[in-house]
Amino acid sequence: MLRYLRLYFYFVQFAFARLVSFRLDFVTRVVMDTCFYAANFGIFKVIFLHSDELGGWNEAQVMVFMSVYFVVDAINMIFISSGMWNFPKIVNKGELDYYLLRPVSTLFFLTFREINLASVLNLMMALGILVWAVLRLPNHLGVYHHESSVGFLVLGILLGSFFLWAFQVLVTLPVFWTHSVEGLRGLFYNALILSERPDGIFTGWTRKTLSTVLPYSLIASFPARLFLDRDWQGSLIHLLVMMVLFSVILRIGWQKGLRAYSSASS
Amino acid sequence: MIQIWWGFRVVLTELAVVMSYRTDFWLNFLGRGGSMFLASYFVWEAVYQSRGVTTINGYSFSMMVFYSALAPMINRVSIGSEFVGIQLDIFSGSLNRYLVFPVPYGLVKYLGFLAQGILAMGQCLMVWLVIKWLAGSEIAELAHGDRFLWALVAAFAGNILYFFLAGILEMVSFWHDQVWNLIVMLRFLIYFSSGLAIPLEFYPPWAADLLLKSPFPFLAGIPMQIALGDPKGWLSMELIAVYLGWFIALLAVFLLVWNCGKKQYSGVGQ
Repeated sequence: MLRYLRLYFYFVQFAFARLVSFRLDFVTRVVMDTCFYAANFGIFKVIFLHSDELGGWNEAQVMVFMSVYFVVDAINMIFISSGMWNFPKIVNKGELDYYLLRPVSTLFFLTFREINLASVLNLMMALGILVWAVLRLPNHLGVYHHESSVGFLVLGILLGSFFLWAFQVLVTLPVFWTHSVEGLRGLFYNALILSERPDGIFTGWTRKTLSTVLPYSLIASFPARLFLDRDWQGSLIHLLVMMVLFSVILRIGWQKGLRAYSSASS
Repeated sequence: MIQIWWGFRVVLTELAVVMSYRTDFWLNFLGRGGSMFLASYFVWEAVYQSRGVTTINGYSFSMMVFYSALAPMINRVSIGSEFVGIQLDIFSGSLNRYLVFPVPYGLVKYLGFLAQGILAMGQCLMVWLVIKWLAGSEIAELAHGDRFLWALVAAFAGNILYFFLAGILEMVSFWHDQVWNLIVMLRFLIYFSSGLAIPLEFYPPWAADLLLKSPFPFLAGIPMQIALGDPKGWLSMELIAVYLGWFIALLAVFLLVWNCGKKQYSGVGQ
């Protein structure tokens, strides 16, 4: 564990050196994510001009849900997205050999190596929006539903981050067999709009699919439910069961992928 | 005549490039069109059910379903794959060949970009036909061939404005390496301001009036108004004047940035 922490400290050092080299990139990323937050808030503001509730949540609750999504997205942007972006390239170029030789988990090294410190400010913004949204709730904090609401909100954000990461890895794994996953990843990223909507609006098989096979609702809706719903226990059990299932699927998929991997130097 | 043939060849080449990645092309279509439709459909279903009404701001639920299905496709005709390719030429140094060959660079890039719009038009037509033939009768009744054709004309008019907008942002590459952020920023602006996610009639009147003075509604909202029969009479001389104003302004900025950027360019290779 200590070895992994030390390694991660070096990753952060490299990331800081990169941040200093690309200062304008830092500014544009901050502005880009601000536009993302503004656009999403704007859309929900317009929707709530015409309705008092959406999928069982009022405007204040939807704002908490959106903020949870922003925080999960910012965490992903800092710790995972850059590494995941380069994942197919590393496999296709045969550079995975160098990762396999290292005495640490290859998946850990591959997905967490490239830290994007430029998004730290976005995480701070997202957390600020989350605090603002929580304070706008009629009876906020512990009084609202149960004593450990805030703790469950943090747990929900961590679980949401796990599902986003696991889903990203799963849609990238076919690269071991197909060599190009651009279309599949495009499909995945385009469909992320489904996790930007409260799961309560979905009905029938769409709702079931989005909370199981394609876990878009597990990225922000279910985590927000841990904090917002009176019957939060069911959501927590669902999230934990799905986490175990996805961990197993991920492990099997990763091992099968490694078995299929071949490069000039392997 | 030779000029037309040359332009036609550029479009054909770009079509061949895009279609050589057919799986990616169709997955992209499914991802963008399908997920945006699902997200929008369920939001409006929830809104109409919670309000217990059949019409909001002149839109019945059927009109909303029609809008949700067609708007992402119409928007695709206007914005293609979002990137116009100038950034890549500058970054990789392949701009050199365009500077050496006697071809107008902006026109070549636009024709390549237009090809993406033409392919998107094919996908848009498929969605329209599905609506026409498969959807419930009330939704299918909204699918008028003549309105749809005029909506496509408006979307292609938007295609030119988007080319200038994205081209100007991509030319920032002359000074700065990473410009993809700027295009993503533009995507978020378009998502909120164009009427892609929500018809502009649903915005507060002051906001809708303000947005109608911007170039963004030409990328989704206005073509969709036309496809729905222009219920508010927004396709007016005033709008045409706004379009022409933006066309001239963006063209001028495009040429200015190009002329300034060219002097900064120091590409190697290719």
